[in-house]
Amino acid sequence: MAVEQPNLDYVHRLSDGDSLLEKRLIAVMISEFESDYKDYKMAVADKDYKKIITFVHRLKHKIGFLGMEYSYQIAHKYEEELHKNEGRLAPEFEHIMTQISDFINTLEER
Amino acid sequence: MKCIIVDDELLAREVLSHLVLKTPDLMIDGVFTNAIEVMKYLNTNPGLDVIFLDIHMPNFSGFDFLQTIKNPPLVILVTNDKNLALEAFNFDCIVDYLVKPITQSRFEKAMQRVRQKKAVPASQKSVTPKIAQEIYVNIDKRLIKIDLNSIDYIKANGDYVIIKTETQNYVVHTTLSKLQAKLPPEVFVKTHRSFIINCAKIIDIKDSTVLIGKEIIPVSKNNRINLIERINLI
Repeated sequence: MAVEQPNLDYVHRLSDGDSLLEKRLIAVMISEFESDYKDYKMAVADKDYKKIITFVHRLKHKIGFLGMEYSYQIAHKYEEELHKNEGRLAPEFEHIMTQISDFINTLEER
Repeated sequence: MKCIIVDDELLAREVLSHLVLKTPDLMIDGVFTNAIEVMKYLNTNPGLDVIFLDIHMPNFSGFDFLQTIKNPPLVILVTNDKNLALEAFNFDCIVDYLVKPITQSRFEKAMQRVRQKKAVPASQKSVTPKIAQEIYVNIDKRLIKIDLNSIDYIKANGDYVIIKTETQNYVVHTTLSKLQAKLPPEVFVKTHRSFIINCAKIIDIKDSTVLIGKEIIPVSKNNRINLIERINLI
């Protein structure tokens, strides 16, 4: 897997120096990521493919928001697999989720 | 220009709201988390210019929504999926297709497309035809005028249709679909393969029927959504 780290380049460009907007968008991203990831894990435990697809789709947006283009492609392929009731890319997707969770922890420590 | 934002993800709504607020000729008239709410909104809010519409929403997708509404405003699709562009452009109302996360420059390009569409000279726009007030039907080689307001409902009956008005019934040799094409769609709705009703005459609506006068008219599952769209639902 290519070395790729989550980053805030997109939100920096979008907010154009508006720190309040930046903080709000990051807070929303963190809150939605944590909720979607939790729901994703529950759906995986239940083997509920329809719900898994829904939450992978929602999490893709957060992966893109954090500038992880390669990881976005992995998530997209995983979503396509899930539509065929397959899920071979689940470990790679889980790795991406861990990377983002770790990154969020560093943001919250600031 | 007035716009609304429809997306089930808060992050997407926040980003879009920010981009809209930075656009001087655009104002937000509503923010929605699902397309069903938008259908109710459109019934009571004419004059909307643009919808920013997410495709993937639970229960009722953006495409489901577009297939349901009549005369939609311009639509900019917003999605996490790059692969749906071809399907998107099957709809005339769609002017652009934005992939999340949306950048300022890509948003501005989409708005340029909206302005170009809006700037089409009035002479090139189709003129809204005057809504017909009556219809002429051929019965026994006579053309008989029927006031549309007097029609309660129309029923298919083999090769004929029966036009039921307040005072009498007219039996006309035609098909329901040919007759429907001559009627204003704002007022007359097909509720079943054999029935068209005048919405102004509805007394009440149940799950699978409407009451007009003393008659109970069937409403099929497929046509129910068309009926709900026409009525002024609170």
